[in-house]
Amino acid sequence: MSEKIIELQNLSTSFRTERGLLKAIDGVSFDVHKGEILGVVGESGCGKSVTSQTILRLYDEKYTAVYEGKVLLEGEDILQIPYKKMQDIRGRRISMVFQDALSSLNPVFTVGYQIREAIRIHQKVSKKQANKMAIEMLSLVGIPAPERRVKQYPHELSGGMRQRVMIAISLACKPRLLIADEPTTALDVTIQAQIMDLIVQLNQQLDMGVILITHDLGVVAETCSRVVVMYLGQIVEEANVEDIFDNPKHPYTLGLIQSIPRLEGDRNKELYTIKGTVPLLSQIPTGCRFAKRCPYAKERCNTQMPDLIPVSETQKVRCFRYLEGGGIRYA
Amino acid sequence: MKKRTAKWLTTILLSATMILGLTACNSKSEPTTGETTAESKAEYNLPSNETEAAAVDKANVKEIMNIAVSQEGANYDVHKTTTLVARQLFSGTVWEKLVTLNGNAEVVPELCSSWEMSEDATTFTFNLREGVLFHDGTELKADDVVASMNRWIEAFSTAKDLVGNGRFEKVDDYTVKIVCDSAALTLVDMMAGAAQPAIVTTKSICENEDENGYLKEYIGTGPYKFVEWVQGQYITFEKFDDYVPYYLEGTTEEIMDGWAGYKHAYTKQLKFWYVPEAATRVAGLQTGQYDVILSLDSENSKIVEGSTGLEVASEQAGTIALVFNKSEESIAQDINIRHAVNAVANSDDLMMSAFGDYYDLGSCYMDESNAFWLTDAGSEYYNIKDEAKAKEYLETAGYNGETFKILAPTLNHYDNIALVLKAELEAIGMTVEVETVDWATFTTLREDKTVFDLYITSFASVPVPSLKAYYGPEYPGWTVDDTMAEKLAAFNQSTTKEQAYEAWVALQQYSWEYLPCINAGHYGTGYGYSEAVSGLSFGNGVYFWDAYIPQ
Amino acid sequence: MKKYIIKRILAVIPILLVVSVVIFSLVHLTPGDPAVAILGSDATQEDILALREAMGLNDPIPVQYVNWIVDVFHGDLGNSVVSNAPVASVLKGHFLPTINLAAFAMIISLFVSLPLGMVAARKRGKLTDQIVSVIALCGISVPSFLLGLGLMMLFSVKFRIFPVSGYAPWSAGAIEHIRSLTLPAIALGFMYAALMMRMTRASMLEVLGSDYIKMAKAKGVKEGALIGIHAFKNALVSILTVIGQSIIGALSGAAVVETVFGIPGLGSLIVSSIGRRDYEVIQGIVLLIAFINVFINLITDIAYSFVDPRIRVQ
Repeated sequence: MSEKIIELQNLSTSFRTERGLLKAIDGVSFDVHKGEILGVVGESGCGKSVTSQTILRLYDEKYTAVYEGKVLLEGEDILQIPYKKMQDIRGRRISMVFQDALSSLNPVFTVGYQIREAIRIHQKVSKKQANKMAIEMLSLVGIPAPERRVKQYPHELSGGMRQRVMIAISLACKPRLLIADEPTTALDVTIQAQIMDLIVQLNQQLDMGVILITHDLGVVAETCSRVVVMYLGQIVEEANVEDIFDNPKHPYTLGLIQSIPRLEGDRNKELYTIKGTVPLLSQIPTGCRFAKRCPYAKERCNTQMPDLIPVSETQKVRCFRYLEGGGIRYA
Repeated sequence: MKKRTAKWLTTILLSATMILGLTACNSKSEPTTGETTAESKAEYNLPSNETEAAAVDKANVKEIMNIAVSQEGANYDVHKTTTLVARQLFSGTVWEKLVTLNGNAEVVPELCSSWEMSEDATTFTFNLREGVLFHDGTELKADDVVASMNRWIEAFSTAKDLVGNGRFEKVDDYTVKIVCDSAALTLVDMMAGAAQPAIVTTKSICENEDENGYLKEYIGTGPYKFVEWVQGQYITFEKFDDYVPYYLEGTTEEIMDGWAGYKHAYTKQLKFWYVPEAATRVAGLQTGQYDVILSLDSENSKIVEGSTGLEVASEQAGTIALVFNKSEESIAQDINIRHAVNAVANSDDLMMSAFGDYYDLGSCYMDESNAFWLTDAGSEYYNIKDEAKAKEYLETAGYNGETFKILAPTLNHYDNIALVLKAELEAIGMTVEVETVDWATFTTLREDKTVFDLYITSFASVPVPSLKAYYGPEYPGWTVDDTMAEKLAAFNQSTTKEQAYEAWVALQQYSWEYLPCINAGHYGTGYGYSEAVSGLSFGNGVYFWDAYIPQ
Repeated sequence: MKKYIIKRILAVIPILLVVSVVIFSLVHLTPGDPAVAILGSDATQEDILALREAMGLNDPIPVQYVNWIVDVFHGDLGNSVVSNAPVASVLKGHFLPTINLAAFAMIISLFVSLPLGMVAARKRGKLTDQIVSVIALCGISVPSFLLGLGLMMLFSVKFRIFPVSGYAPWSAGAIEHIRSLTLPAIALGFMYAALMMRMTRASMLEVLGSDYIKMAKAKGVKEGALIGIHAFKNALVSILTVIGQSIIGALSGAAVVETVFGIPGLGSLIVSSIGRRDYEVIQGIVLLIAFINVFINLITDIAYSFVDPRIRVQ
């Protein structure tokens, strides 16, 4: 196995609200290795984005968020280092790509300025040199005529182009870890594929770790080597990508897989949906968090919280039914 | 919780600012309403003018004196404008007249050495002082006097009415005369003290008028020459080195009496700053930025009095008149309505509402500064405060709830007077409406016979009773009454002062019976000055021809 | 851009025409006239009537308007009815103090309001924010008259640092000039500072919550640059609007402050001109203010396009 770039140990993030502390993620642990793409999947509100932003400590720690646990970046716990030092880590060792490039790029600065800025924050280079590097980055992410593009503003570019620009900004300092938070959600399907291909390609080219946050299992199947499934702030299952699809152990994972439209399936059959909705953070059930929506839920599930238990070398699951030997099957 | 902190902080900060602001306007002082004695008398304090000039060390006098005034004239062509500030600044300082008033408001020579009046009071002859120089260096001659005086007559309709077709003419280089159509006893009083002063400038200056007919240059014979007027900022006068002073008749001492006498011009430069805001004038006096300030009201004068090193002088400045509309458009055409209003009007309340302490009561239409004309004729009608009597008058008039309209300008708080009067009239069952407008609007509205039944205005002190405008049929209020005209004519045709006084007493007595207007009382004004300033001349204004600040 | 500017300036002409008709009618239909102002309060009725006739004030108003507007198109704003001085030179004389005062007030209020507004947004809900909010509230609710007198009492009368009143032009020396304008500029600028402070805070708050700020933070942009560069430039568009309005306000609405501190500017000119019904001068001032208004708006619009490339002038 290659070296671990990042390791989350029992990571929790709570937000201060008028109704007290609310835990948005609860005891999340996973790691990412060099050259690996880890998929983090789950419905909206499952804590995927909170996890990624916690890694970068983007929340206001004085007034908003409270972190617990550890985030080890190449062995160093970055939750413990002084906040100011995070500025050296962000963009240089860990970068992030957000989902909506239109709103994530600053509308009043040129593309070139925004890339140059990312470079010059972390590297002592002249403006001219930074510009040259920015142009190189733009061609790296596959933007034609980069000399012209650096002078343009985000609104002058197409959606796919903007997403490429954002990736260029993130990769400007050749980070060790790239967190891509739903990088393709706002794009149409053909562009989505291009962007994903680009991420995969750069992942190999630059030999960095990637955390790909998505709700799209299709994308996961094509790009990731390992997958973490999250539900309501907790990891419910973690496995290699093959095991997730071929041998899911958690009813929620199964539900997600069944929700994917299939070409070969019966077209008249109604698409499977997981019944119910994700409860609010303030109404987290005491037992298994998925119990209310789970087709297999029993008495115990409502009162007791199952632990995340390794079931093989590579797979972990948080479910009583599996532990008690009960199987799950496609609906 | 947070909101409460914010509110709390706001309250503190706001009140701190308020306090700061209020100390700025300073203690709005004890409420003065409530106690209304029968004959309140303002305690004016007008220092007597220093007459000995002996001790002034001219070499050790500050070169500039800074004076803050509240008004700015549209122009300073005093032949034509009656603006108070124009005559206060320029009269006697830049301009001089053939005759002027002494401290007893008697007419005495200024640019003439003497004058004679014919027995029938139609012909006046003036012998000019020789060697008097204008600021442009030319000598004062009869031609200049004739041009100036006739320009004044043309501009001042009251004088024009008095002299008829007569005009000044040159007898020789140092003698002029005028022959009036009929007796014009008070002509010299007008020349000496009218609100449009009969100042003398050169013939060529008189002829050099702008498009609107105003003087382009201010050239006089006074101890100071006009240097500069920066509109909205200041006016500068400078000592005129070739000034030819004169002695009071019969003395050879360097003294002044009223507006007449020997002027020294100790201070090299007089600078009159236009400072419209009263609080700013007071603050400027306190810091020494200004040495003298004008137009102090009674509240601000208390602040000045309370400051160390500052003094206040004050005097009567004019009368407040409630003028009735005597035209057929108004219910006030009925003399009983006028008497009803007069019977209930409480002069103390009316005057205090606008002037604080700076007023005094008195039925005489003339002010203290013109002592010769004082009389208590008609005082039985003044300030009687008798509601029952007022109601009787209303009944006699057949008053039946018609609206009584009061028009008041916002100037000098005259609108307060209107509100007090409204309350008093409502107490006797009248329906009253008050309209308050700015001064310029007021002057137009009051020409409309349908707009008002009574309006409130003031009259600055005048030297002769006939200058009281409200006796005229043209003046808004429209006094068209044969008896009144007869009595006014009797006054105007008097040939001796004694005769004129008798006529005036009869005129005032009749006025109180006829009530063209109600004379509510006399208002005052104040002047603030640093105690370092010496030689100010007070009396119908404050004058600077002998003023100086020792260094 | 050039075309756009020319077009905008040409578009001013009809606006000014409408303004001129409105103001001319208003001024001439208001009761009161200059004759009384010229002759003073003790003038006799005959003299007033005679002067009115002589001044042509009895001509029909449309005739007076046409006479005036024709002259205006020839570049002649006429002469003051009262002082007979050319209106253009009267305006020129009073405009300079006002410009200096307004510029000074704007500089002070920008230096105060922008940093405070940014800090308040950054420390939203905290004590600093509340203090700033209270200052802003005071700025909006304390009348400039009261503030002016308060400042005068404190800094002129008590500490004798600044003169009580009066205006010293540049020619009297820079220090005197600045001394004479400091208190009035603070009194005038405080309200605008408060408005700008509020706007800065509000738009900074909006911007600080946006994705591109998060993105910039994730890039490693430092706190200072985050607020001072990334957020500020975005917030600037709405702040510019307030700045533009404040400049117009300071140039045309300084009457009270000018009166308190004896600054011979446009504000005190318009007050005294209205009091005297000096028609030509009032009309001249209003035209000038209308023009300033349009001009500042034009400058603001052009400035928008420099700040935000998404806004294109055309």
